[in-house]
Amino acid sequence: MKFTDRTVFIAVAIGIPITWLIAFRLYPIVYSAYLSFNTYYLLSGQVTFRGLSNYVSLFNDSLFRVSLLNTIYISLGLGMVGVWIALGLAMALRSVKNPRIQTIYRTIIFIPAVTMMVATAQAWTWMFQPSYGVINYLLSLIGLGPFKWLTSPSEVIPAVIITTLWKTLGFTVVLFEAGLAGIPEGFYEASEIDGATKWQQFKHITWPLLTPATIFVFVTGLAAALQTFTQVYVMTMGGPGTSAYTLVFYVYQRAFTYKDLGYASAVAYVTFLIIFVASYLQLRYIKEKLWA
Amino acid sequence: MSGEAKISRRNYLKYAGAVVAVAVVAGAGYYVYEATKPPEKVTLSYLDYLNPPHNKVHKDQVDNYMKLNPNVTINYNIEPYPEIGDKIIASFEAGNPADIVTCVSWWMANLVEPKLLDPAPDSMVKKIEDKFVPGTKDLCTQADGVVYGPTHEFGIHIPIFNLDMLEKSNLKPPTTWEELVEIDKQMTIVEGGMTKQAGFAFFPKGGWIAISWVGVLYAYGEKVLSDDMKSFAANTERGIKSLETFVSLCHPDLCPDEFATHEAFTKQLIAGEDFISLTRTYVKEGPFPNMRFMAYGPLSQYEKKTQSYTWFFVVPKALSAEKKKAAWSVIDYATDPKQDEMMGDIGYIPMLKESWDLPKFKEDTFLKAFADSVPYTKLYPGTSKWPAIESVIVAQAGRAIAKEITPEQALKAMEEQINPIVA
Repeated sequence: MKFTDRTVFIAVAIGIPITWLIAFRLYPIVYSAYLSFNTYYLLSGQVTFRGLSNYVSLFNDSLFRVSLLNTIYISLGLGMVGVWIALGLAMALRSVKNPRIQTIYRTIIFIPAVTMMVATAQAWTWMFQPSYGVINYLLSLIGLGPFKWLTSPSEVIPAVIITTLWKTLGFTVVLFEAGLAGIPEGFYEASEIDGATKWQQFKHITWPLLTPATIFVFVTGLAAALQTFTQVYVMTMGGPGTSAYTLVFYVYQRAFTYKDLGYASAVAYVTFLIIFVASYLQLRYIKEKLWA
Repeated sequence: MSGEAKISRRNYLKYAGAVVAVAVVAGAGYYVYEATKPPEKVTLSYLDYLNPPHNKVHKDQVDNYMKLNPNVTINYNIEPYPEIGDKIIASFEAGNPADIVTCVSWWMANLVEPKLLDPAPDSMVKKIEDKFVPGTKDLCTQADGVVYGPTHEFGIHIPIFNLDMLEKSNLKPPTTWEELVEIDKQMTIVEGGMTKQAGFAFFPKGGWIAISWVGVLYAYGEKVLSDDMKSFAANTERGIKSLETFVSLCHPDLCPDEFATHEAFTKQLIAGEDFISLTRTYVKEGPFPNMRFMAYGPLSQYEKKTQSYTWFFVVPKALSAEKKKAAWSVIDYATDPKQDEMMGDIGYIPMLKESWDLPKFKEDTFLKAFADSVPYTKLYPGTSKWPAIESVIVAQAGRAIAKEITPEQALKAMEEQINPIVA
């Protein structure tokens, strides 16, 4: 067999990403699956087989329950509120006729999406400060508040949702905008001639034809929401108390604070299972109900 | 023997005088660093945690040392605080640690338990005994009775009082935690459900929760873990009282941030939403330049005690004899009076007794209160399981601060979760 420059190039071009994939993706996935059935304390080096006991322990773990409920709360909050705000903004953007102004608005909306989450979270931490934060100040102008935000167990998750919304909205708006751009103008013109109202146009043209974009937004949005970590870590460290623990934050705590990699791997795998099932059900539901 | 040379009285006095002079100079030399010259070229690595004020001083020390000892090369490295603990422990476990390491007390257990540290040489132990402020040696031996290195930073928690507010309110500084709770109640103003002013406010976030509460716990005469480190020991009547005290002194809506947000905190103080007390020496580093503060030492309750998370210089046991000699020489240099003065100049607590004879420190009653507190300090606990234990304390005490549960329930939960960790 003769190795030509071309075959060497192909081998290298494919080999490097495959090696990377195996070393940094597949191996950790497989190894963490193995660890989830073991006890492994980081630095001790000892791996002890525990069978399913890590998974069984999860059912009696109150912190896991809190983390799971908070994660669901955040996901629902982002899904229920974020998607509609993004869709509204995308439609508002489409209605701006001047392309330059449209670009300016689009840029403004998209900037948070390219901002680092750490910086975003830190800035919002200051804005949520109860005494001198700008949020409470603005709300006080319309007679609302004061709110305790990050220092209150009942207000911390809404604060995390608002921060995440601000960060992710731009990307969702762009996705919806792309979906809206794919709807032929002729449909709207024909419906106008038939005397359709704006609401009827939205219900019978925009929404059904946006289904592919909506599915993508929901599935990727849910997967991202279920992995909420950075904002919780930076803004609250899971607090007050444990009221802002999320599944991924809990994985981090168990792995890098407790150094209990076995248990952390079990939590990570359950998190993966939840994301997988939720995404699958969501896809099926949307396909059946909206795309049928 | 007539041929024998006799020593004249004059010469005898001359030689004796010379010997005495050499002895005096040598004795005095103990106070002033004398460059040691390892026989061959040595390259040392030095790992420090990120904190710009002291990093600059340590870097200058390293550069000056290298000038005095051209045969020694020191690579000075800095790691951010959140990462350095794990890196130190992992590097020691992996057998490739830095040659000189700055290590905070609660990580020491991870290195002391598996015997990875070089005990300090006798000369260093003697220096700590003779030259450092009283109580330092006790602090240095709290891990397992052995001195593994001198302190390079005292992190002592004692209340700091805003003198303007104290005087304006006609208040005397409290001497016990219960008195402080009373003052806090008097001073606290809540409007529309929000705390507008407090007498005292701990930082109720993350690790600070555990760090601050443990200091109060010590003053209540209790400890986190039993002497054999196998069980949680704070779920007692006094332990509950200590947590009640701590929780009542947390005003998370007024003071939600760590000292990292000094700037905002300063404005808050200046704006009149004040605390009479803070803790730690960071005030001297400059975040409150317009404020008058005073420190009076630890508060007592059942004991006059507070916690300290002192930083130490340590050297790995696995180093070659030559490197060890050079490493200890660098540490000796870094803890000499001139270097101590430099640390004092940037707001740290000078560690050597003689530094307190310098007028600039002698008159600094604020800083002196910290140095005088050293004998009353007990190290923040350290075991290899401490990060997990601390995490439980933060979570459960945090729930008590958020009024989700009572302090009594929080301690019960801590006991239930910590006992399996340490068992």
